[in-house]
Amino acid sequence: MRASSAAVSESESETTFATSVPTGRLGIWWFLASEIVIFGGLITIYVLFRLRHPEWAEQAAHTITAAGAINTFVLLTSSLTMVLAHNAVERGNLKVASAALLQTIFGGAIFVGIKAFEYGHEIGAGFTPVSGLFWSFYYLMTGLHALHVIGGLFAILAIQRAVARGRNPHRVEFVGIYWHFVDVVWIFLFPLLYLSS
Amino acid sequence: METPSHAADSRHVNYAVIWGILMAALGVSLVLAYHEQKALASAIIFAIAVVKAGIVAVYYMHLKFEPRYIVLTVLAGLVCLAILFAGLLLDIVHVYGG
Repeated sequence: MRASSAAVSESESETTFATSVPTGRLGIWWFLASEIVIFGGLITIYVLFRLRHPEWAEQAAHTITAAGAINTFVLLTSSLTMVLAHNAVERGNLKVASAALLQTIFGGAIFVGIKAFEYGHEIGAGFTPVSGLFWSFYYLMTGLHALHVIGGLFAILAIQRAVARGRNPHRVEFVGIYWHFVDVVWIFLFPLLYLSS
Repeated sequence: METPSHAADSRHVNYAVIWGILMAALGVSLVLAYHEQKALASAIIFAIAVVKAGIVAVYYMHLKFEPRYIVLTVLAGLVCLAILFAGLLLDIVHVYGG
């Protein structure tokens, strides 16, 4: 029964429309197009407010730049391991792909851990989501991003377990595209919230 | 499943070199953050972020190897964002003045 389900799943993954793009890849890109508006909208509104409130620089100075920089390093590196996992799938080496996915999960977990440390430090210093508009934006944007990281970690874990058993390796590409998008969002959040002081 | 051309093209990318470029860009941004001319430094840092995001999208997300339909899908999101930005900007100028 399980083998039958897997076969159906493989068959569905190869389904294409007139675009000649596999439905799985098409679906993830459509999803990300909507995410561009969500994160892009937030970032746009933040930038417009920031331009009108130069005094926010003093608030931004209280974010931990070193932690943000380390998290940028960690997330960019996890993107590298993710793309290497996809590359390994293309070459048919599922063992390497599975190991690279585990490394990506490790990187994502470190990112969440550092972010949690930052939140603890900032809240401890009295900077809560209601401490001012800058901090409301900070917690909303980084919090929404962190939720996307955590959701991505669960998705990567589920796919890694399947790939380790030789099932549905094509899904590595789909979760990879999502993971890189999460990386792209952080690439913008880091300078806006940490380096603009 | 990869389309054959997509898979073949993406295999020739040196992802470690891309990672190195992204790390170098991160380093430059950190150095610029401590520059005395804040406004200029912030503008350059943001420009670097745009380039970094583009590199990730083109090489890691394989946008370079995707068919035009996928590129148009991304552009659809960006156009919606541009409309949102233009509307907000007009509203702010109207309410607060230039």
